[in-house]
Formats: sequence, structure tokens, C-alpha cells
Amino acid sequence: MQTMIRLDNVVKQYDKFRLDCSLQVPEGRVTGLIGRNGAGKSTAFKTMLGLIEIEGGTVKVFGKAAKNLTAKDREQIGVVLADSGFSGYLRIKDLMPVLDTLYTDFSREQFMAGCERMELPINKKIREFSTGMKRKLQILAALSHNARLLILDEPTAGLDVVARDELLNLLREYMETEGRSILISSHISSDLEGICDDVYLIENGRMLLHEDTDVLLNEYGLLKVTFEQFAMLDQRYLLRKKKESFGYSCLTNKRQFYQDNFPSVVIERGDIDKVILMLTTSGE
Amino acid sequence: MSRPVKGLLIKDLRLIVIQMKMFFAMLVVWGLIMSISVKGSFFLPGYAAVLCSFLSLSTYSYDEFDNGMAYIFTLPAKRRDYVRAKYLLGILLAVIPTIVVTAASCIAHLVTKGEITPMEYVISPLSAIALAFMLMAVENPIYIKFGQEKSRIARMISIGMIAFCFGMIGVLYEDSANGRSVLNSIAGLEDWLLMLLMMAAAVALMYVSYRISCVVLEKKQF
Repeated sequence: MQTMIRLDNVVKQYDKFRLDCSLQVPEGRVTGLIGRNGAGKSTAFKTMLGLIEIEGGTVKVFGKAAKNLTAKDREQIGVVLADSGFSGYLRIKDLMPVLDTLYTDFSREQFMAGCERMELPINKKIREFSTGMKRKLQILAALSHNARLLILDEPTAGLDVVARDELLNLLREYMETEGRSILISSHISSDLEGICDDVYLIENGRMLLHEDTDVLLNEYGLLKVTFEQFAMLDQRYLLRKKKESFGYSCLTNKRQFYQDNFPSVVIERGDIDKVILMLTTSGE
Repeated sequence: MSRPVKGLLIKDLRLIVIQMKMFFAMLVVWGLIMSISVKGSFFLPGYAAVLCSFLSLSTYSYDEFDNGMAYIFTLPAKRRDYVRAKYLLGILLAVIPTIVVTAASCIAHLVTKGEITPMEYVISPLSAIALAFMLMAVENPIYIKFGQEKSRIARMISIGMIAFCFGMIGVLYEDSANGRSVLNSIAGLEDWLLMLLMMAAAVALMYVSYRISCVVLEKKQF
């Protein structure tokens, strides 16, 4: 199985921020990148797309250094960026000949059908679009040229619930063809839980966690214990604890162990939000 | 022309057509008025070449809108393709309108039974194109390096250059019309040879500028 994206100890230093992370996106998988605003998600995406220089480590896409990707390689990548898009002065009808020329496999019919379905006006300047409309346009463009890899930075930002659901269905359809992968970031954890095979949690430029989504949902849990219960608790499988008014909240990746051995303890199912809260807020 | 360069060129041409319909209309009307009223027709090709080359530079600001440059460089095009497309656009916008305006000007002269000199046929358009090339050679790398907002100084420098060049060429034209071409008397060269040298210098400057722009853009981060 080919590794589509591989970041090894990538370092990017800004004035007050340092990205120092590793990440892999294998073929056939949907990998999620989650983190708070300013955690380093967009910076990580920019390293993969060769938009910024790195100071250390290696970034490879399709096994090649990101900087050395040819135009042909880039045709295989569909991109949505959180803070950038097509020039707002263009209209969709101006965009089509551009995409048609740039991408050998651009499907005008598919793109047009998508625009109609998502009610995007083709004669209106993009800068007059709402945030959600701009996002939909970028997603349609990313899906329109038979790419092997989608790199999607906050593709659901600005979309309402219905549009988000529609997008996630589009991504599921996209993954039905073999040999494709998606790297997706979102601050809406339920989006990632519903589509990702594995997720990375990034905070302050570092990866705090990498786990299969199934493992995270089925094996992680949040224990709510009093001080007395905590003193009696087997603490070998606690990843993090946080002092609360009632005692402690404890994150574990062995929920079943505690359910079996400490039946009196309140245990909540793990989900991405709980994991983020436990791993990124101050605790021990 | 490679697919990436062609794609980016189409984007720029579309941007120009959408944004500058009114500008083009004014350019045509103004050009027509001037072609009838101005006797020395050097003004017209110069006007067309320089104004239209400004159009190519204005496309940078449309690319920069909403941080759009980052997205452009995720498209299947190398950074040097972007530079190539911009220079090619500049060349097209300097050459084609100049040829059109020169042809229109010649027709206007024929219709009004005016006298057409070789200056009007060849030398004026060539020097106008050379001037536009020089302008673009100076401005392109600065736009790429500093962006639209921060390149105001470059614009002032280039406008100064245009004024200087226009002034110099005006002096040369006046003198050559009187049979006392300044440069001819200094170097003993014919007008056409001087124009050829000016054109060669402009093309060389454009090439050097293109290489500098490629290096500048390669180092730029988005």
C-alpha cells in the first residue's frame, strides 16, 4: 500500500509558533487532522502543498518531495484551503475553461451538475458568494478532475448541516474508487468521526495523538471519579487526569478494563471532543 | 505553450475582460479621438502599449484578492509557469494593441489624406513596445516580491521612467523631424538601427527580469 502523504519530523518556525510534527496518509484511507484554531493544521497543509519552506524534516507526497511535484502530479491532488480560493473577480463560467485547460481529466459535465445541484450561480462573481458557497465551489473543483488525493483544510467551514451532510456523502462516494485517499481537517469533530479511518490531534504545532477512529470511539472513555474512587483506581491505563469539583475526570484508552473492574465508576464513551478537551486543556 | 501556462493565461485574460470592459471601451474611444486630432502619431501606439501593459500588472491584485495566491499554487502549475504566463500576457498586451492602434492610425491618415512617414509605420510602434517591455521588466519582479499594496514605490519609479523615456523619445523625434537627430549625430546611427538596439535592450531586460521574477517567486511563501 502506497503512502500518499508522509511528513517526517517536519519543522516550520514562525515568530511565536513552531510546527514540529510527523503524519502519514496511506492509500485507501481517510485521515483526519483535528485541533483548535491556531494549532497548526493549516501550516501542516501548506507544507504538503509546497506553499511554505520547511526548516527541518521531510515532506513527501506520492513519494516525492512536495517541492518537486510536477504539474502532472498536482493534477492528482484536489485541494480546499481554509483561507484561500479562486479569485473573487472570476465567475464560475470563467473558471471552467481554466480548469479544463489545467486538468487533463477535468469533467465539465460533473462540475456543472454539481454547481446546479448545489445552486451555485455560474454568472455571478465569486466574491459575491457566501462563505458556504465559496466552500462548495472549491469542493466541487477538487472533485472534478479525478484526483487520487484530496487535501481538504476545513472543507465544512461555513456550511449548514444539510450541506455538510451532502459534502460528507460526496467524500464517501469519492472513496468508493480504489487507490484514493483524503486528508481532511475540521473543527467539527462529528464530521471527522463520521468519515475518517484515523485521526491526528494537533496542538501547538505538535501531534498529541494518532488513533484509528474505531479505537477512539470504542476503546477510549472518560472516567468521572470522586477523590476516594481515584485513590482506589488502577491508574496504569489513564492517559490524562483533570481535577474537577467532584474529584477527577480521567481519559483512558482501556474503557472496557475499567467497566469490568470498577463497575461503580461513571464511564462515558470516548469521542473526539472529549479527547481534545482532555488532551489540550490543562491537566496532569 | 504548455497546459499550465495556457490555463493561467486564460485566467488572466478572463479577469481582464470581466474587470476592464469599461476601460477597454474608453481606450478605444479615446484612441479614436486622438487618432483624428493628434498629428504626430507616436502618442497613440505609446498610449496603447503602456496602458495595456499596465493591465497585465493589474492582474496581480486580482490574484492576491482574499489570499488567492496560495490557492493558485496548489493548481497543476509550477511557479515559473505563473511567471511565464504573466510575462506572456504582458507581451501580448503590449504588442497586439500597438499593432491594432498603428494600423487604425495609418488607415485614419490615409482616409484623411494625411502624410504617413516610416516613423509612423514602424519606428513609433517599435519604440512604444520597447518602452512597455522596459516598464514591465521593472515592475513585474517588484509586484511579485512585494504584492500590489507594497509596490507603490515601484509604480512611482516606473511612471518616472515612462515620463523620462517619453521625453527623450519626443526630443529625438522632434530633432530627427528637423533632420538633426541627436543620437544620429552622436553615434552616426540610423533611426531604424537605434530602434532595433532599443528593442534588443528591452527584450534582454525582459529576459533578465523574467529570471529574477522566477527566483523571487520560488522563494516566496504563502
